[in-house]
Amino acid sequence: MNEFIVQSPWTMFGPEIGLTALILIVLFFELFSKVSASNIIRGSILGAFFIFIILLLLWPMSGTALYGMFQLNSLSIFLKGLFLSSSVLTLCMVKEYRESLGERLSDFVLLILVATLGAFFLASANDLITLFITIEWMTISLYVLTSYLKTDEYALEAGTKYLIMGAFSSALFLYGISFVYGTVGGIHFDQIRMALPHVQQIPLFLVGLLLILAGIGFKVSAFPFQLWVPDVYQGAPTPVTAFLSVASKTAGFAALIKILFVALNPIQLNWSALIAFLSATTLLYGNLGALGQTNMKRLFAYSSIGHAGYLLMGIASGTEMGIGAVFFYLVAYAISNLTAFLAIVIANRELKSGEIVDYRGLGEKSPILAGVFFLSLLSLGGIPPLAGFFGKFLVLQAAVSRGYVWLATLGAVNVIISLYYYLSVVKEMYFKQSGSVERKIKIGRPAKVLLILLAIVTIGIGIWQEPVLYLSKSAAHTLF
Amino acid sequence: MLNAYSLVPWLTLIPLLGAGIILLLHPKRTSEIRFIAIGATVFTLLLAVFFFFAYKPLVNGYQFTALIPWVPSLGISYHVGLDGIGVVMVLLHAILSVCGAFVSRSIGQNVKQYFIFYLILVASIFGVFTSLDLFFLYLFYEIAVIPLFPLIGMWGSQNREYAAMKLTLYISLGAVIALVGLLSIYLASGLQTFDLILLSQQAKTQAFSTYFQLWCAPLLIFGFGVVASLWPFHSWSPIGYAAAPTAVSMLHAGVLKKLGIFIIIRLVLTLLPEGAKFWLPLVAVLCVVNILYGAWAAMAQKDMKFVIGFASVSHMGYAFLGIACLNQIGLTGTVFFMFAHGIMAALCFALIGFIYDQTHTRMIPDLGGLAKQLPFITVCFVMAAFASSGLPGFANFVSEILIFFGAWERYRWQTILAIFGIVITATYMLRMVQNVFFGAPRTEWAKLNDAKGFFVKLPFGFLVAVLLIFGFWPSLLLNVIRPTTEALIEAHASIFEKQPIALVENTPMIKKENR
Repeated sequence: MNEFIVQSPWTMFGPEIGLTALILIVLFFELFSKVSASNIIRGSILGAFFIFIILLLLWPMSGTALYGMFQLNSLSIFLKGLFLSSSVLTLCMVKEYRESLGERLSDFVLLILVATLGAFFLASANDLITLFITIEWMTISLYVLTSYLKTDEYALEAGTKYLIMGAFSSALFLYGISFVYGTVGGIHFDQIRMALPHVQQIPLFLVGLLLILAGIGFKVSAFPFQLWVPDVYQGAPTPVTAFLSVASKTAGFAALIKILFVALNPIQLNWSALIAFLSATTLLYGNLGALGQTNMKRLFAYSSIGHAGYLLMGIASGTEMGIGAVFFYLVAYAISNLTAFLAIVIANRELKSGEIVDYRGLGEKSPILAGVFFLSLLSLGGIPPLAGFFGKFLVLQAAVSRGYVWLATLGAVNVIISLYYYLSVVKEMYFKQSGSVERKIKIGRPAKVLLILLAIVTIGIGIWQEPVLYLSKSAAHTLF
Repeated sequence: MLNAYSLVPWLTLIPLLGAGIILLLHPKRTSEIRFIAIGATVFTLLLAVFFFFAYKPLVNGYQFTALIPWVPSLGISYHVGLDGIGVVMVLLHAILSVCGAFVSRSIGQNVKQYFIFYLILVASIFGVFTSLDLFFLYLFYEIAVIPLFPLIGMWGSQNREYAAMKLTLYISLGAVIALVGLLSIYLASGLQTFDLILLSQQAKTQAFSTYFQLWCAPLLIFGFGVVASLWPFHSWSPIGYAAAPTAVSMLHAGVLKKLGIFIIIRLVLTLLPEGAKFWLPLVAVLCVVNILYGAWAAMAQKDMKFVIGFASVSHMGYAFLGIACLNQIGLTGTVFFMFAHGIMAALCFALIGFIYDQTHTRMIPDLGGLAKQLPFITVCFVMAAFASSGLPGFANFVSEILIFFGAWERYRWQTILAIFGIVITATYMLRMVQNVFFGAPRTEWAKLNDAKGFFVKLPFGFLVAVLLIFGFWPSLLLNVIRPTTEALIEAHASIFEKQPIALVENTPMIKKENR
């Protein structure tokens, strides 16, 4: 792949500088002027589009800065685009959610932008310390966001739980780094990779790696580090849940891929079987756990664990094809999940409940909302011709190509389990009449347009896969 | 050879366009919506008839092909075309989707959504029958399953939620298991392509390893066998049919079930001949269970739709028996049987739907003496019952005879038991006819209205006519099917022969002929 080498750090830091400027502008308006909260959201979304343009301009370039700590390549640009898109969609969700947040909405927007900036640096991180700091940067913003509804006891419980578990996982991660540093004598990914032939027999090095993997396991909610997920997802404000399930998970997977493929070498150190095992257990835990859920956000918490299982399956294959599949899956998952959460935000606001039974008769109350939600559920379930299907298809293909036919079969069976609970929601929405004759739900025009647009994108990626496939393949190519 | 202007993609596109137009219409404009749905299906029927007569049976290979590269890096292309089997199945599906659109007049609520899902279902089934690319084949197959969930769940009758869920999950499970098989074929071939033609050329010249074929074939046979209700994976089928609205039962029993068998013929017999040879004797045993168990269960049913539901489970056994023969007669019989059974089963469901719309019951003990009020419906139903029992003069007779001829040599006991199944079929079908239509007229059914008007009679009369035409003139269909099935068997004749493979390969004479 032809890549331009960039020398100037100013060019390289373009997206980060843009986002920092945006954050400062938002902060300025919040402090010194009486701009309404919705206008702040509108302004941030507009600013995000400018950053998007910067990312597009940077696309085929690559380069390093800060003595190799910061790396720009197709992979990092791809990830930044994904982070930015998911935070824009989260901001759109915040707009629908603003009634619950009241006065303090602009801080909420600010924190989401700060978390995104952390994710931007994570996408470019090239050594263990930067990786650790950027993950923490993101997570600390999320601690605050999770417990943002100060009067809601579920939110407080969620915030506390997330804080304790998050701190614990960070401690593991950091402890692991100390072992790796002690054995390798450096924290840079290239140094670790060079030293690999000498250190891979040293138990302390392997212990360090396991601790790092455990720390990241918390972030991506892989079994057995997934226990915090249902409570936190249920208690957090819905836009934060969406952000956690998409941006934070993507960040975790980005870190995992960087460590496994940049710092380690899949040929020299064979971690594939371990990841395959994690993938299988995560799949089963997430999808079986989702079966009995009655709360919509909790259901999505378990289903997001299930999706982590599929992503791990792609990583387990350890091939360029597998990582390309993971990136495609991440895009498809982000689109479908954020669409679903946008629908949930609107539905929960109108129905004044987050229980699945209260979605009864949604198909009559608002055909558009229910229709788009239906579509996003099918996409998450992996039904063609939607985006989620092709992601699952690629991941299963990667697993089969590596020889994990058992894992692919397990993944296939889990498609059916997940289909069961997704379709149960559809059943509530369409097959059952709501008890009382209630008014129809009215959705504002921007939300309506956004929902339809997202539905079109979901179908579009599923039918014309080539553009996203090209991006994810180029991103994966930089690792090999 | 590649024709970019082929009309085949339009079979899928026209119903999809119809669905798109309906999506934009206001839900209250029901008459326009119906008109568009019927119009779209009639267009596809015209196309299907055109293909049927334009198809040149004696030309080898697929015809009317079109190829659009889709994801070149993965070897996915939108490649469509028809062979003798495909042409017949497309004709069957087009006939049934028109009739289904006509009998959907009884749908009263949510007409818009109903026809959108109906047309997506119609389009995706055309997609499966025409695809020459494994990826698109699977894609359309899965798309066909999903509309069934809302169609049954929203417009169905008794037990609809349970039935919709069970049916969708069962068939999807089969599909994803088969997907693992399809992906394995893709990777094992080493060609980096999903193109069926390239893969089958490779299978002819340089076959997949025997070990691979042995474990991959059951994934496909049983995965796609689920949708064809192969015992013991049949239990979704009678419940699903009983709950589904009439048009969906028609399409499902008539066409969707055949997808499984169609795909097994197209993929397993061409790509995995040794796997087929190893596993199909087991299928031959299971299908006898299908025939006898299905028929036996149908005897015990009181609900008319359940009788036909179990009857269709039973009948699919014959189709499997025909494939298991692995010879040209049996395979031709199977394709003919799929066509004849599709028409017959759809006719039965359409008639039962007609009766149910007026009586609001399908229980045989509650009905009786309907012949007086419903002479036209009675005549049609008697015809369908005769066809179902394999009476000469109907298309079903020809196909069953062919299957028995084909199976006799290889599976003697199974054939005898299968023939016995016909006796049971005749028993329950005629008993149902007697109890529902004849006997003393009941006072509560005195006010029933017979089918009146051209458009009400059309679907029933059309289906009966098709059954009779191909019953008396089977060569019309057989001449189209036979060359294709012959070529299919010929391609791997040395493997499908009864003798062990090694003996044949050691004989220089036969090797020479193969070249």
